[in-house]
Amino acid sequence: MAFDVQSIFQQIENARISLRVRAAPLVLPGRRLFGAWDPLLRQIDIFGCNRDRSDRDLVRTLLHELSHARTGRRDESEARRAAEDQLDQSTPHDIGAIASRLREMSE
Amino acid sequence: MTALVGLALLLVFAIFATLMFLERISTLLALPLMATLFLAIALAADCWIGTPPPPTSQAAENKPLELPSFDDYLRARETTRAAIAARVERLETLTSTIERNSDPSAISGSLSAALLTARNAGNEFESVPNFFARPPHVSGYRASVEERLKQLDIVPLIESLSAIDFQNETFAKAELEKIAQRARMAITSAQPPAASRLAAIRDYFAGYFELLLRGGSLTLYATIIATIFGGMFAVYVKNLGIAERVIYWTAEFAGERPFVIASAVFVVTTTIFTSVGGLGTVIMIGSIVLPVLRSVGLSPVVGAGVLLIGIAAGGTLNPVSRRLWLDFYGLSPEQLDPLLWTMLLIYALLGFGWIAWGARGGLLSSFDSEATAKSPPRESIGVALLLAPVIPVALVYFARMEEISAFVVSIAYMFLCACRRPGAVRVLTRSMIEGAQTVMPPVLLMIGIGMLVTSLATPPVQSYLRPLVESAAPQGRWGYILLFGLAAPLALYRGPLNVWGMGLAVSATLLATTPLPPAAVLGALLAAGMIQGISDPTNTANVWVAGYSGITTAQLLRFTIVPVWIAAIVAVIVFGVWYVP
Repeated sequence: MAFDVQSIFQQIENARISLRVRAAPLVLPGRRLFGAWDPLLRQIDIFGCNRDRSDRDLVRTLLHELSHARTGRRDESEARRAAEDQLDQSTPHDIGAIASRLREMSE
Repeated sequence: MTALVGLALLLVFAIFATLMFLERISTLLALPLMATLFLAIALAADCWIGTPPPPTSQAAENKPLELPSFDDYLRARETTRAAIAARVERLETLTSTIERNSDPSAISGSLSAALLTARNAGNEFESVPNFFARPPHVSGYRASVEERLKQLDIVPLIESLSAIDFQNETFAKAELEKIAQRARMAITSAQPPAASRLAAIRDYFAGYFELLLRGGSLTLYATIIATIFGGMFAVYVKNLGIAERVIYWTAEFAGERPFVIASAVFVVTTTIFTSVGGLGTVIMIGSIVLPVLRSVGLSPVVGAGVLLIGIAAGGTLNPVSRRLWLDFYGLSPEQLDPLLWTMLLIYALLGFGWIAWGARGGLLSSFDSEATAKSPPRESIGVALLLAPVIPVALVYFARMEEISAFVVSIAYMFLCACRRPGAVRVLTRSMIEGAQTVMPPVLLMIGIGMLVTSLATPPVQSYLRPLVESAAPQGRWGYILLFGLAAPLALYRGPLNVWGMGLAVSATLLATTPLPPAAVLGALLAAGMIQGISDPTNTANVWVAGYSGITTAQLLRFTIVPVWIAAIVAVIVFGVWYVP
């Protein structure tokens, strides 16, 4: 399914999901986080958007977490696949625009 | 008029509660200021308006209190003056018989007996209320008059009497007159001076304000000292890296299952906070615990809740708090401990319920992440030292040791375990100084609490406040359960049921004015304290935990308030059934 900047952020808003973007990655014991979906708070966190992460990586993380939000499942490989599929259908222009928007939102 | 003065006192209470709620004034300042205003208003009313009628309600009958007024004080002054004047008069009578009596040695015997009697407070003092008294720190009006009499230096006079040469009658009579004159002067000096009404008012104010400032400041002295030793212990535990290592060890052994790891963290946090406290320790433990809980998928709200419930649960058994409850509510350890263990059980049920809810698959977070190596602990610590956080609690609750000794023994134990480390003495000394410094805010708060409690317990304040509080206080078990169950959130935002603020003032008033047993009043306050300890956005621990977890204190309040309130209602029901007839 192709998407553009407007539609993806519209989807997030319509689903009443709050999106927060952090400049630094979140380092936890045993793992470094780039994105998190919290079903309790209905919140997607994107971490490390200003640290050596390409636009594609950044958008992949967003799509990954959106997939969790959409399906309600914690299956990481399924979310990864869904994110990759969507990225493959998108233009570099859209990916760049979404990444720019995310970087603008970073706290 | 009594009701108007009572309402003025309640207005002062409401104004300070609002100012504290709006964070316009610190509790440290608010409590002593409120105590001063309560006393000043009540004393002024007592002196210028008159004596309020004695309480006649059921509560007053159950808990009769002597509430002597300013008029009683004036009468007390007159009674003591008259009693001492009678002693002087007796000496004058004896003196007048010296000339007429042909046997000076008999007069000498009577004079000696009169001098000895003059030193003792007789029956006439028994009816005098001991105004402004808080033994052993403030002796009070009657006791000070009695003390002046006891200190009369009559031994030299009696020795002079026995040295008189009664063979020479003229000389003996002259000597007896001299001695009687000196005795009259000495006894007169012990007499309170005659004073105008205005001077009596001045003395009345001065007496009560001495009671407030000195007696009030020293009210919780045992708790204050226990707090200082507790602070030293907590900082020593922190400086030796014990708590940090315990948490790492727990996280390492609990694996990756969210329920298991959160439960293990909850139990360890509770255990650690039974003996330590303060924001520094919260930060130290929280900065280890919260990432661990987040890494297994718990929502930041759930992780923050686990930590805060653990802190509050551990704090229930904290020996310093226990000392405060013992001193403040006048409970015995046999009465208090079951109440505290019950609270711990309710906290445990709440904690595990919270974890079971938050660790359900549907609420766990999903991550886009990459694996990294786990950071190793700072240094290895022996098992003997790892046991240190539970030692004070074990000593207090199981060995029945009092709190200060328990902390000293625990500090000595830790030092013996760590004495081979380089700079061990320096770490101990630094911890003692830092520990004493870190507990200064609660110590100052305790001084203010002592003043407020003293002020509320004075007869003038009681006389005016009691009728109003009586009318609002719960009557019976169901009233207690309904009122304190529904009102538990009033502990939020430094409200009137806040354990470490207005709640103690409310408790003091309820204890002094209603038939509720002290255990029931404490139980209601501890139940409300659950909401304050876990959900209150004005807690410094909550502010830090929320900020570190990337959530807001309002979110924390929104998610925790319902389960914690339910737990508080359960606690109120249990205590209502147990303690309120």
